[in-house]
Amino acid sequence: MSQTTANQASSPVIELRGVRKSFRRKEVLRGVDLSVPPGQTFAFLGRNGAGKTTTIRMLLGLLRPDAGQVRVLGLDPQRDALEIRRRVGYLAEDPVLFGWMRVGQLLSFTRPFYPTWDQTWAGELADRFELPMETRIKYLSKGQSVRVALLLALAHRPELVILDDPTLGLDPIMRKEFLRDLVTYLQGERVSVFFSSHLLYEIEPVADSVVILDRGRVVIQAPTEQLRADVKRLIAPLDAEAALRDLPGLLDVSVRGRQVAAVVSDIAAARTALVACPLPVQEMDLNLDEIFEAYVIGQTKESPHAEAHLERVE
Amino acid sequence: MGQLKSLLWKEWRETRIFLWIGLGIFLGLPCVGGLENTFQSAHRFDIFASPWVFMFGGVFAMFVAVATTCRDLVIGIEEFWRSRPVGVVRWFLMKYAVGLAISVTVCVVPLVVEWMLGSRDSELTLALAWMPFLCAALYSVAFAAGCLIRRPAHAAMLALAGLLLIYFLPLVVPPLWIVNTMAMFDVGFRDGAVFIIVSFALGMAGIAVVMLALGIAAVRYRWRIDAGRRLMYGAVGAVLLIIFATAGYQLGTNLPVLQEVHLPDGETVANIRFDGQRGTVVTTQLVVDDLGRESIVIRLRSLDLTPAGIQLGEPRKVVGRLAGYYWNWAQKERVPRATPPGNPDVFYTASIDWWADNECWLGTYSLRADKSAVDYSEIKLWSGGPAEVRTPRIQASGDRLYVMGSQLATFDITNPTAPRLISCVAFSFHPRYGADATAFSLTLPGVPGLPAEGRLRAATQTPDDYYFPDDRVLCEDSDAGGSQVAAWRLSKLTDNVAVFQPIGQWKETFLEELFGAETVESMTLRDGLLYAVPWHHSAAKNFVTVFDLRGPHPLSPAGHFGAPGISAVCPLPDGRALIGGNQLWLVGPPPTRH
Amino acid sequence: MRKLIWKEWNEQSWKLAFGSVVLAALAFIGLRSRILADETMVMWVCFLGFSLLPILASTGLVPAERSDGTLEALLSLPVTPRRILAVKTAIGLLLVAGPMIAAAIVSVALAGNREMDLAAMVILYARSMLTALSLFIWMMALTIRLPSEARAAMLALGVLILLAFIASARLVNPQVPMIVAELSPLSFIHDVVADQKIPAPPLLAIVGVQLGIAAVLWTWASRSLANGAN
Repeated sequence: MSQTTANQASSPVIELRGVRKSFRRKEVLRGVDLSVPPGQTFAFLGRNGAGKTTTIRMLLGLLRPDAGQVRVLGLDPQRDALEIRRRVGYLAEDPVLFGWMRVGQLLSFTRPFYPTWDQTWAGELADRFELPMETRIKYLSKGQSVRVALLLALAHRPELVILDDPTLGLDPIMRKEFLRDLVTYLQGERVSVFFSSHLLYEIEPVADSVVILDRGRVVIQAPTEQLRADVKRLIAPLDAEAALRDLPGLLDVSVRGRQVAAVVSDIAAARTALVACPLPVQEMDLNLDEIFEAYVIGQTKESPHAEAHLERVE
Repeated sequence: MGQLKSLLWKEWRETRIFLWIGLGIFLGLPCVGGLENTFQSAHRFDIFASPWVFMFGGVFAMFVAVATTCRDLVIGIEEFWRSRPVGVVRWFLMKYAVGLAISVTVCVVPLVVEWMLGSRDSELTLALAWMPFLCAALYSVAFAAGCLIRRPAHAAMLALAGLLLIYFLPLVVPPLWIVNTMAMFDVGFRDGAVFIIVSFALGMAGIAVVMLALGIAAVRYRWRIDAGRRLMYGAVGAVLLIIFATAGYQLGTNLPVLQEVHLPDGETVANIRFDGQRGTVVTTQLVVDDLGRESIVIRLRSLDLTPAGIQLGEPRKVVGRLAGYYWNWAQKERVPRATPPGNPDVFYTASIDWWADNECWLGTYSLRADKSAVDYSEIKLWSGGPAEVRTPRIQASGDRLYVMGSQLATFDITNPTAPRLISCVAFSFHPRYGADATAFSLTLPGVPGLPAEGRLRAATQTPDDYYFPDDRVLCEDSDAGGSQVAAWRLSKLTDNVAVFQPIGQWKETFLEELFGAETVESMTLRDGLLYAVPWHHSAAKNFVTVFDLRGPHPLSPAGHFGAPGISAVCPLPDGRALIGGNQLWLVGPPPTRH
Repeated sequence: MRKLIWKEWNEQSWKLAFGSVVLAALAFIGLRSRILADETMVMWVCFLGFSLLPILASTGLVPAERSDGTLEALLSLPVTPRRILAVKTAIGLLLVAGPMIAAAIVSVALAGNREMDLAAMVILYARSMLTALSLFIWMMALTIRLPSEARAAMLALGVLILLAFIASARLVNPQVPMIVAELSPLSFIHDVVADQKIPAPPLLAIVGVQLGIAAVLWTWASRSLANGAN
């Protein structure tokens, strides 16, 4: 591999630096810094209104940032939007397609826009997704429509696939099938995937890295495994509350009855800090859902969510 | 190339339905009408598509533009194509081109078919040159509206307001004359027609280009007008205000009212006879008795014009024969009649009784010296013979009276009140049918003893023709395809032929049709000002239009006067005029117009 | 109830102002420039008034609210649908009457007793207003179930055309009983626009019939509104 190719292979596929965006005096993105390495599946998490869709639209050049820099595949989406769209597969949240076209017609229509369109591969995907080629889009079910949109996103062998909450509106069975189709494609392909969703327990098995966006800022970006390894919940008797509140990387603390629970972002540092604590402290693993919750709605003071946390603890 | 083909395919598939609908309406329906005509009247097959195209072609183009733009600017679809590697400009240029091609095809093809089927009307020929540009401009306005507003109903309303502005604003703002659509309908009869058409085409092309650029920019930079109910209401209100304001400007009464004389309720002026100082006003009033029977009451009033203004005398009701005299007199030129030279109180009319074997009768009305009664006598001229389509023509010259129908009856009117038949011989004369406003030669009827001038008057003694011998001007009104007035000047008169050169032609515009008078009932010419009086039975819409035959663009309306029940106009030597309707008005001359 | 009136007024008052300004402006332009006889211009303005105002008023009350999605929220308030409809009807009648009155005032000021007798002008406006108000009730009742303003406007236009036919039935066939013509609010102005040889139904008879029809339609509309929530 040449040096250039090596550099390209290692340079981030998505990079945001200090990106800001406001809509009518409401600041949606407040200085987002993000870097997505190539060849990974990147989970982009956040609550409603956190700024996920806004960020994604900026990646495709559909929105202009008020400040900061955006790079996709090393290109500026404002200047090189068309080139980016040729090399990126995009599946929008709740995609809308031309209802009057048949599936086959839509594929034929879309094909000329992508120089790297692989017709054979498109056919294989169509078979795999069991898409009826002669049926008009408007007569397809929701799941079929999403599959058609996924096919359009993948058929041109993109270097980067951006998925904006693609399972929105699908029932649980369909969501499983969709993810299976996606994972099947991803296996063996060194394609970067940027995946935004609410359904963390579904992302968890497939995501290599996670970035959490909250109130217009990136709260954490880390590999999934590392996140799971670092973020833990500590449970101790109430007398240890003061010690727990002083822990470095404290995300959330809650008190119920005679116990106190704290979520920390760096268990190693927390352990070091608790060496001197004489009281027993229990460590618990968290799933991505709980980690996300701690980052996004965790409180270091008495929290209305305290009861919910401690109920689960008990 | 693949991308363009793809876009072209998509736009064609989405928009072709408009082509079929448009051709169905603008070509199919006229063809049905043409077939019906052919079967009913054994007429050669032809179609009359141009009125439909002229009236609704622009609206159709508008709908096509709005539909094609808004379709791809629905939120989800917009997201889809914007996220594809296709440029906005390319996408929408293709959309524009396909929609425009369809709109122009729908507007032009029916005109071409009409032209090919034989209607080589010069106006239609010229319309084939300028209509596509008008269509392009209107389409582009709607295209821009669709790109800015993105909601079909709202965009259509705004586009409609834009369409009306394009039609009517040039009438109100003189610098915009080059894009005056209304002027294109009779451009063939103006000097420099080619220049006018080329200017119009360039102007419309300019509008199209600007609107296209605006539309593309709106999509490219996501400019948007928030369309809501207020925009819709605003567009509806703007449309109405534009129409009314333009009508007010163009058709508003601009003859200065110098004096108004009120008449009692129900009384309407039927005719005015005036010699400049004194005259008579004939009024009519419809009266319904208790049993529901209707009758017309005729009254006379003397008319004096003093430095102080009009003075009307007391009304004098006339009944019986006298009423018949004045009623006939009030019908003006609709009923051919002749007056012996030097005897204005005598007139002759000829009538055909179609129910009684086409009997032709000569009636002689003679007003007694004291004006209190009328002597009336009738002479039967002929009966039988071919059915006569028109009332016979009648002319007096010297001491001879000539009645021209299926026979020619010649009378000695040395005693005007007792005409004496000299001869009655078979006669045929082909009546002059309306010509378009080009030069034409009129063969004069062969009537021994009647000078050429008298024979010319006889030949033009039809309900639609008005020959003004003092000005040597012939005017014609026609209600075929809307109200029209044409004028010619007599350039040569020989013993057999009268040659006329066109002065100009006027066709009722859309506004005038919407607000204006029904067909012209009569015309009066004085000093180059032609007063066209509307059909007086139409009380709902009536105004007098004054045409200037002297100006650089005859016939262009130079003045209007709207008032109820207008029926008679009597121009005065000083440029003023008496107008009779529900009241009697003395009006000044129209302001100078070009 | 006051809050309902406040809500409707806030939503619709701009239409009253707008309609009044436009119709009064049309009357002003037409009469000032004397395009046609005064009576003709007044008839034009009245025609625009009674054909457009009821359509705009009726479609903007319930169908618009339904397409905005706020109707359900309104009907879920602890207020009877009848009361809600009463307030909407009152506002709608105001939206129709207001512009007509504004146009009448301008016409009278500009051209009263000019060509047309002042009383005749006022009576013409009054009869047109009665036509418009009745048409509004018809259109509101018949479009109350429709989901969008556009469809409601199409149906309202169809209602107008149908009622025009009914009003002119006696012109086509004088044997048609008077009561048939009285069923249509356009009979209020029948003798103004039609051939006077066919006698028009007496004004009071039309008023009586239209009031009865309005009561029936309104009751039906309030039931529809109540059922529409389900």
